[in-house]
Amino acid sequence: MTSADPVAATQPTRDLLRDPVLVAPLIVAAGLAVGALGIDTHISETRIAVDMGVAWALAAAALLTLGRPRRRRATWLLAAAAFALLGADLEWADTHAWWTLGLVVEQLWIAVLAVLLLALPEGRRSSPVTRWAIAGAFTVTLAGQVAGALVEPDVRDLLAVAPHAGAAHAIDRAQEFAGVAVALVVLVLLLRRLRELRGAARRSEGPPLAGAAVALTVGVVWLGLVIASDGSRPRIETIARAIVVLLPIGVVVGILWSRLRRPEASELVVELQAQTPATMGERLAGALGDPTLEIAYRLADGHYVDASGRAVELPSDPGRAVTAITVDGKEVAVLVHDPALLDEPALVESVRATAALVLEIERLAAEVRSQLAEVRASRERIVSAADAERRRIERNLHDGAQQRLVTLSVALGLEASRVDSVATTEILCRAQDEVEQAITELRHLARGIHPTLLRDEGLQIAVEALARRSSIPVTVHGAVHDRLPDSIELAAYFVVSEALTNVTKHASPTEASVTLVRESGVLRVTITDDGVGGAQIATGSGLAGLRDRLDALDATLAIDSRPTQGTTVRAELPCE
Amino acid sequence: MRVVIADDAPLIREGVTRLLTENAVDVVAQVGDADALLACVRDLRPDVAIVDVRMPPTHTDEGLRAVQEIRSHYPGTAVLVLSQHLEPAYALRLIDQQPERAGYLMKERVGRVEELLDALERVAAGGCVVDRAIVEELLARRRQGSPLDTLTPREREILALIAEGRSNRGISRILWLSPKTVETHIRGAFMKLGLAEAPEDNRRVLAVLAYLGR
Repeated sequence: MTSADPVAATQPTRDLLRDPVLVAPLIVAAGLAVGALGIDTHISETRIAVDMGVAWALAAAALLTLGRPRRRRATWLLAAAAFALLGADLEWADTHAWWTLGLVVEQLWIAVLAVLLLALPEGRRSSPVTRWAIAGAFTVTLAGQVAGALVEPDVRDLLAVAPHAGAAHAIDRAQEFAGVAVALVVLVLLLRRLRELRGAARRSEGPPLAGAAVALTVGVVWLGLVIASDGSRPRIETIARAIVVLLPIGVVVGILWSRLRRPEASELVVELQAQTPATMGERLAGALGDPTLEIAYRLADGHYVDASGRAVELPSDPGRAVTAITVDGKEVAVLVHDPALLDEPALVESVRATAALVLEIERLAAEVRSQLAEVRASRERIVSAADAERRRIERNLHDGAQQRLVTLSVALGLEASRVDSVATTEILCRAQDEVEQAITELRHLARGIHPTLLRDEGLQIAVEALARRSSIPVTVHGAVHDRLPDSIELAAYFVVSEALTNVTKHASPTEASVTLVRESGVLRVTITDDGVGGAQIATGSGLAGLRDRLDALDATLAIDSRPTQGTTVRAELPCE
Repeated sequence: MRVVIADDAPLIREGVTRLLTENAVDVVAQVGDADALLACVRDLRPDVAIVDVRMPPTHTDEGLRAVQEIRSHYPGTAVLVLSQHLEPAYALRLIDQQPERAGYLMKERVGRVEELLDALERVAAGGCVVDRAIVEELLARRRQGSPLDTLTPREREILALIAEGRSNRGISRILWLSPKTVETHIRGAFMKLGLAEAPEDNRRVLAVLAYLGR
């Protein structure tokens, strides 16, 4: 009922003509042909066996890498190395053409293997040093051999234009020295790569790279010995070629390791179900051995969110791979991980099978969280839109209606100072009184809609003004002189304002107090009176009307009011 | 007396200019924003600048900020702030550090030419003016057991006039009392409130306002 779909950028191509599966029999055939050639020309049996064995081992490794999307280049390079290795053995032939070809490609296998090693893991960008090392390997092996062939004194050499034993020897020496240099560079690069490998990549790339590092070390020693001994090459060369078998063995070990590694399914599912959303990703990262692993849940609308409900974008760069987890054909989540994990389909499959249901549950939870976040954001928008509207109305009252009334009052005053009739002056003055009364009323209205004092002078001064305007004595304790975000100041101000209104309306107290304290990221507002008590946050009351405003800020509002004990209203507003 | 008027409403500027001109006040300039006001004060050095708090561009406290600039750079020019806000905190902010040659009037006072002239003369003479509505707002606070409750109506009346920035002579003229009687009431009121007699009128205003705003 479930399946894992690799959504990686590279899909395996099942094109028979392009499929390197056909090269395996060709390598076997080529090995047999070279073997027959060696027996025919009385080459040492050990040497024949080693060359055939190593070539076939490379072919076998190439076959094993088939169908692995991230190993397409490795497949071809392994096969090419096998051919190159056997190609060198053409020197065993008596035919001049074959012998010359064998001479030219004699050391090509070394360069091919260098490319193979430096290209692992696939998909990463090669550094300039890597590119120079590869170019160096080809120069030393291929160009060096061609140069040698031009001066080679052997009569079988068809390329010899100026045979000269001394020159040929000098070129050999140059090749050996340059070879040591290039081999050392490659070795350093390999060791550095090995050290950088992490997680899944370490498991799949580690063994072949380690095998190659050993082989290369032996190769460097071999070259050193050749340089030191200045002769007796065939025997040491046989050993060196035999050592190459470590590389295909490493490839095989890496692949088998990946296939064998799968966590205990039942154990994993039990552990996963006990996970909190935050550690779920960590647990899966541990199970899959990829610390970079992330989980993204797919919402009904096709967007992806993390465990906390925040929107996430799926990566599009080739450095990350995305594997979909489906339940009943419906995608519930995706794992965003190191592409190296694609080499371990069995492991990913087992984790997917055990985790799918847990992930579906998590997905539903993430969907709810995402909707909650959406609701909260929408409440915030509504509250701040309402605040903006209040500001606009307050401003319009001041700059519109009030301004016009003042203009009218000035006009009336001007007229009053000009007329001579006492009666008219009287009427104009009374009109002016009315206008001034209207201005005063508008002023109170505007202040209730949006407190300008709060905006200009901050919470402390605005609350002190509220306390002063109250019809009962109100003492303000504590001090919050720093400016806080508008929404927090407004909410705290309205809490104090509504609480004081309630107190004076219902509690018949003798006095009240307001306390403002800001500590450890929380603004605490407390309003206490010594009135009759028994109050509650009734629906429709001013305090109840603040619920949306407070919820939008994650603030809490509590009321403690026992009969005859007075009333305490407490608001806590988170503020950073 | 030479006066500049800063208000972004042309009708109000015009009206006030005419009211003042008819009463022998020389309105040397009228401007609509803070920058023009500052340029005017710099070039014309008027005796008083009448400044609306809300001016472009944000219509919040541009006027107050321009006034602070004037007070620190052109101390010879007195300022009379016209405000829409019945908030003692704004008035206190204006006169707190430097009560001389400053006044805070509610905007609608400009329609009453005699009140406007009175305030202009007082700030030009070096005094301090606080709108009576602001003082009422401060006095309106009822606190049980407050020493304010022990004041006689006359003492309370005189305390309000002091808070508005009136001198003893001004108070005696307004209340038709002899300066001596006024002094007696003031001494009585100050004693009841536990206030020390200030040596100078403007400091006395601050002391009373501070007491009321407590």
